[in-house]
Amino acid sequence: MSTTRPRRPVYIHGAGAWTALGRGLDTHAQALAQEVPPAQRVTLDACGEAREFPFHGLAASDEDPVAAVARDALTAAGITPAQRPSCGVFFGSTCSNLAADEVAYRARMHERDAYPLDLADGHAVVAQQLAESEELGGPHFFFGTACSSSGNALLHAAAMIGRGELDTALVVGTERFNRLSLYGFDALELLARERARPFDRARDGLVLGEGAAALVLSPAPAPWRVRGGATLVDTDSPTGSSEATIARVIAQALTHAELAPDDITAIKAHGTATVLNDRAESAGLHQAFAELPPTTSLKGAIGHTLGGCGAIETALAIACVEHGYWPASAGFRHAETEPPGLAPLARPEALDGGRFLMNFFGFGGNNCAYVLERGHHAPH
Amino acid sequence: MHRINIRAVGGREWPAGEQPADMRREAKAAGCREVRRGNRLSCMALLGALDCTAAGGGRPAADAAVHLASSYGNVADTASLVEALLRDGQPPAPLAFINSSTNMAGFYVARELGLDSPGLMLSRGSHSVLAALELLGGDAAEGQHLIGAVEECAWPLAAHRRRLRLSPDTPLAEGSYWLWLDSACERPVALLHGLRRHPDRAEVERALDETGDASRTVVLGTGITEGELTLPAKVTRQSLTGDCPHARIARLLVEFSTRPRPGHLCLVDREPASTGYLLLHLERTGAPAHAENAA
Repeated sequence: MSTTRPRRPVYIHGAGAWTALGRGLDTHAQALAQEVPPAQRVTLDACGEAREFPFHGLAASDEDPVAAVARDALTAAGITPAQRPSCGVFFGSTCSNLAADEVAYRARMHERDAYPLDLADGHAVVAQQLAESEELGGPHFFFGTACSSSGNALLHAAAMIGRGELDTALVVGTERFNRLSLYGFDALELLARERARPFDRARDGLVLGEGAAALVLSPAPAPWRVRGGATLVDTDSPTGSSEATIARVIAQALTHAELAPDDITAIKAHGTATVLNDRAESAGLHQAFAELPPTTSLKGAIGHTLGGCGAIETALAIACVEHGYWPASAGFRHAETEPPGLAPLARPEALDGGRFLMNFFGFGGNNCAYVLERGHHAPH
Repeated sequence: MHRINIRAVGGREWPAGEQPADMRREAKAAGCREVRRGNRLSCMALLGALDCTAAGGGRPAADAAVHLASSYGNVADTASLVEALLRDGQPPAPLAFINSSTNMAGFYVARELGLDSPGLMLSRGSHSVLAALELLGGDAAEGQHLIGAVEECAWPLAAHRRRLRLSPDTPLAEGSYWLWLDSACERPVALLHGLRRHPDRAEVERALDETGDASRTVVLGTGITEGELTLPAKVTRQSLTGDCPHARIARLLVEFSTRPRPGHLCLVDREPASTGYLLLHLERTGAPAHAENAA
């Protein structure tokens, strides 16, 4: 099958988020309503010379962000002890445990028997630890589809619940600072000099960020519903998707959400701020929509949180709508004209519910799109 | 879970020697086209996937999903990149960095087979292949899906054994085992009757009884202690085998499915962090692979 559609309705019951803007949904909703602070600068000297990179880092804390957002989401959802033994964990990340492992390896790397990636249980280790610490006894999964990892985690958690094979799921996405990602994207010449400007004609690349978010899904009715979505691999290129594939995954997502393009209230684009990816996404969105609804990218505000962005940007979008607006695309000033680009929101736009398309694309040609629905409500 | 048709299975295992086997050369010799830019894990994935589709006598449908299950993914290349960057001050080469993405092996399999379909990379330690089957759930009874368990080693092997918490003299292997699920297949080699979670011992023992066939082979996973379960009388006990620890379950499914006579397999295991027991029930039909399935 090329798509994933919940059979019974699936709802989002609680969420937690922690990014460079702070911790908690209300904190993010307040921060994103205003001009966001610029990225910090980090200086690294891993390759013999000191280099400065823009980066949206988390404030120092003794708390583990993944555990913290998981607890926030479980608390907000009111998960009872009786629900925990069957609650699944759907964990998506690009870095997996790499950030902690880099720290451990750096401390020992000049010893004769030192080796990196000390992962006794492989990539699933973080999901497993989280399940153990929160006593969540259902199935746990690690999703590794690059920057769409936790988007796919949410989509497939919804599918499993929709089929009636699971009753409660904790979806988690995270990305933590690690040198390999920073130098890797630098080697690909995809990093911006100062800040990310998604869809702006002067954009010059992405800025990495770190963060974590968690969402609790179940079939019990709640204000936010996962309407449906799709995932599709574009095998033309390992690093970028074509506009045709982007248009097609959006069309499949809408079909399986049983919606038409006109039903979409607003779009959260993937919007990395790289020249080629934004151009393909602009063209794909123009193919999918005769008239584009208000569109935004959150990566100018919090950086590109890679495999974590699915959960993180979903939680932040929910936070903004709960506060009565769709966020601006930080860093955007002027749309491309040749070829014609898209003009995301330069200022927040008021709204109080609707249907929201969420796009997430990753290396390995992975494209994930889904639609969230929120009934109309009185603004926060 | 609905009954799921397994059209074909295939794969191979490579004993890990002093030096890594040249997977690119082997993949090229096997006729793989997508070997120039992919890394070793991608070549292993291609070899196993092509074994499986060849056994199935045709190409998967263009919309066949690819779910690549791996505990460690690109552990060799990622470890090399981290060592080079942190210890030696060498930045990653662009292609090597791209190939360290966990889903790249599945990408090359999809490209080799000309697919235009969903794809995922999933991980759950030694149960990664079960995670892929469990995630598909009832959707596996519709359309076509390729599920592969691919595990590589990282050299030096002494360090890799420590990474896996194995003793220094433990033999190691790399493996690539694949299942081709096809709901429209008329003569499947095997039928997956269920992959279910049971909350306690009494429930899983009752479920084992209900599989009801005297020709059952029961395999207890490493999470079950000896004597923990009371097994039905007259079952054949079998152990998980192979020197690729995280691909042993996929190897079991592939090997069991290709034996000539009909039979039933029940795999029972517990998982760290999860409550209860996981029970997989597979029926081997005894149908020969491929000719009858050819498109």
